[in-house]
Amino acid sequence: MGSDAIVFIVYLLILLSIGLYFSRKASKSVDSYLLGDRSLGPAVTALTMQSTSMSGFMFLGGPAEAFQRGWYAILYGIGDAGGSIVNLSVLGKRMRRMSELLKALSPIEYLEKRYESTGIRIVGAVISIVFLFAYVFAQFIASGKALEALTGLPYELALIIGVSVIVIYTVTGGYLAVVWTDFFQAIVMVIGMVGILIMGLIHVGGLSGLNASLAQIDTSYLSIWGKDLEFYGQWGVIIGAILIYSIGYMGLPHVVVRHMSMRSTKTVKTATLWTAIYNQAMAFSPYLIGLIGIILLPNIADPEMVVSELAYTFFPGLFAAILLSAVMAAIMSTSDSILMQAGTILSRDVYQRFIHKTANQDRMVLVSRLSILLAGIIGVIVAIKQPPSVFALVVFAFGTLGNSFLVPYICSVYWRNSNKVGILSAMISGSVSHILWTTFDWQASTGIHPFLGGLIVSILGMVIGNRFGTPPSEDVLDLFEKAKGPRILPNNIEKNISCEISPEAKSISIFVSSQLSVESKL
Amino acid sequence: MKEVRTESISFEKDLLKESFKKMEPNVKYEIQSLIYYPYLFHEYKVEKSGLINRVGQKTGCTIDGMNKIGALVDTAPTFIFKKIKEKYIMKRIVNNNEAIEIAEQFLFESIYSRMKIVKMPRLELQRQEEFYRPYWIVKGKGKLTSFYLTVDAVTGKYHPL
Repeated sequence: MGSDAIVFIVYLLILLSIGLYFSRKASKSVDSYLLGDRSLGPAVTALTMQSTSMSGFMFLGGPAEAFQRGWYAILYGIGDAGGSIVNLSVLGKRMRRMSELLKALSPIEYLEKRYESTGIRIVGAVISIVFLFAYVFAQFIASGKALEALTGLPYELALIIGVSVIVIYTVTGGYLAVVWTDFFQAIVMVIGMVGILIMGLIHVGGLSGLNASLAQIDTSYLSIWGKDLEFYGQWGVIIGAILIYSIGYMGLPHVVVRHMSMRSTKTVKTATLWTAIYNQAMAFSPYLIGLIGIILLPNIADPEMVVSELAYTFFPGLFAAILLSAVMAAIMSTSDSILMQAGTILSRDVYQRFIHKTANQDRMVLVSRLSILLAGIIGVIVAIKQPPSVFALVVFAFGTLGNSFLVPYICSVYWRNSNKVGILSAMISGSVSHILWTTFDWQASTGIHPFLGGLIVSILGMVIGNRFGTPPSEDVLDLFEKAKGPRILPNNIEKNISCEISPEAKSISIFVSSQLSVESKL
Repeated sequence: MKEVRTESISFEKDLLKESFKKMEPNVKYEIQSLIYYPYLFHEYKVEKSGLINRVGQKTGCTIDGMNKIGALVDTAPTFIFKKIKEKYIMKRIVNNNEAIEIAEQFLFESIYSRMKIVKMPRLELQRQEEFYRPYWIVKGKGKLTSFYLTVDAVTGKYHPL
């Protein structure tokens, strides 16, 4: 066993010890259990929140795309960095009000309630599962590559070990105090990523030096049309590349677990600011590192290994091994939460709904975990037989999501008479067209990015499908009008409303008005 | 007057006014009253949670006494006893047994979707306590409009009425 493999095992043991120490500490009271410790400072909270999104994509996929296509790849970063702004400005206020009124905890539940259709929930669940599995397969491939680099084992064997570790960790890991392990992870990864970027920029003479060197190799690296001007004049490709991350996030099938703070939470606003700063900084780093790789590692065999090769080039072997261990652990922590989500959706929305309506709690847990095991086996077969690139898989996953959910979300708050047939048509046509567009590479013949193609088809599906459905119920139309507002609150007050106490506010409102009417009668 | 289990107020009138003033200086704020909102706190012992974490842990959740909704608690609550005029106390509509049922289903959902387990752990109820959280009623008056907010006096979170 190589020394780097020993570093990896020691690293995992340290993570395990941190987790065990804090979970034992927490076991004496109700603190932290299932929620993690929320009494941390804003910077810690922000880093912790982000470490789960630091996945194989950031360390392998993003740099590889920039290495192969030059500055064109930065378009994906622009979409990523601007995503939250687009979400907030287009949908933010209205969708938040509507979710509150519908008492929806997840985006799919929101659509189900808005259109009073369980069909939407089922189609949404199936699309989410496709996305989750595609995304987690990308993590599996990344885990195989990271382990291969660390241990020197053949890719296939490294992949099987990596996926086995992930699956075992996901079904038997209990609940470690993930906040602290995530924080530790995030620190190692941020230092590593920023360290590689700074060292890389110093080596190539800053951004100007980087561009000058790229121009010497091939001027088309500097173009937004891609290397060799591959996408020249194809605005459909450029727009699609920017849009995919800016709106793909809206379809993420996460579920908010309601929680109640037992003490003052004055750090929330600052945490959001830290997250925003962090997002802006980290959105572009992988691509810049990929560009640096073109100059410093022109003969690298696998572009997805740019980060690990640069780590070994710039830093002592030990540090590079620690960074790679952190990447592997990040892949594990991203994969486990995705696998858990996929297992939950499959067992609740598919198994319990269609196969065994009266399934008890133990059976539900068992089905959920067995589906995780199955995903692991399929993932290994896919990753060995025909491994796609990490980047391609992640873009495919986000594209499917965005094409399925973007049109339904916008219509839910801007089109009063949109109905469930329209929404189902938009979801199905959007996702299917994205899958076909990618599989048969229609981008090459049409000059339109699969995401933009899927979006156009989804809009058509919505408009045509809506003609065949019945109008929404009076109750929903009433909520639609209420969500439109305007509330009469000043902007800054409106911005910081806590939606989670909306049920309480409703009850208090009824209580206060009944109290007032009693007092006025007296 | 009725003696109830409640929590210490972190946002007193002055701090509340000051916070809102900072946020929106052009509005006049008037703190009107303090309402006590009912919850039921449940503490459970969770046994056997995975191969690595076999030690029994504890978890807590609250059930909203008016809307019958569960919520995980982030830290162990510290309660105090206080005498309150009854007209400021909201009467809960959920009974103790119903609250336990809701709490256990809610915890199942949370554990099932968040914990790395192969078998559902056994939950053992250790205590159930009714408590009342204080909420301020605040009136805001701007140049053109006026509005009402309710503010959680423990956390400072607010929502329009």
